[in-house]
Amino acid sequence: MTTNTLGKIAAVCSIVIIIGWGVYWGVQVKDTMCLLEAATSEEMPECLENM
Amino acid sequence: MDIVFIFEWLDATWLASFAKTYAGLFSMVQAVHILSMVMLCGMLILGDLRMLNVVLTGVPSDIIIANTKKWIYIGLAGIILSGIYESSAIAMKLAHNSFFFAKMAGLAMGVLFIISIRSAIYSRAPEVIGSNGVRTDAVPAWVVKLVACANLFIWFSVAANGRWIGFS
Repeated sequence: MTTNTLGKIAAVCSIVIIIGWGVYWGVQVKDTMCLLEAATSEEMPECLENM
Repeated sequence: MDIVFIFEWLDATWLASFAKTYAGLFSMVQAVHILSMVMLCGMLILGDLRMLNVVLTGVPSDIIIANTKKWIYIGLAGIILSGIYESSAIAMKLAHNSFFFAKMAGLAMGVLFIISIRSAIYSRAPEVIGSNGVRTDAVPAWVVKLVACANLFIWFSVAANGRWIGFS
């Protein structure tokens, strides 16, 4: 594999990881925060409707 | 795919009953798990921040990467072994914990990233970053920095997911 190809593969993988993993993880944290809010508040939070 | 049977099997092993019986030992294994994570992430952060030209800029990057490599694998072995022990004690709780699966996915991704892309790219760091002398097979500086950022992000998420397991 040439250095040029390796650089391109590394760049694509890094961008995919940062964006893809960031979106997946962000949604997961958001959902958990919503469930935590639902568990501690008396009223149903709005975020539960969007889950 | 339902993999709860794996957790049921782990929960029924002698390791699980041993871990549940000796709570004092469990807390010490937890300390080993955290210290191994600190060592692993510390070594990774050192290499990544060097490639971002933040720390130890006067030291050639090849020296830092070569000297941290062994400790990365020791830290990795420490977190995996202590992690298996810890997870055996709370296997059924982890079977339904989304952050545990996110941590495992991040860990697998991080290990693959280290042994494939990170090591290949860092050994081809250009003179402007690595200070290792002029290379004919150097990759562009922005690729090296992008790989460093991706690696930092992966391992931050692994550590954060580990903490989330405790909260959820």
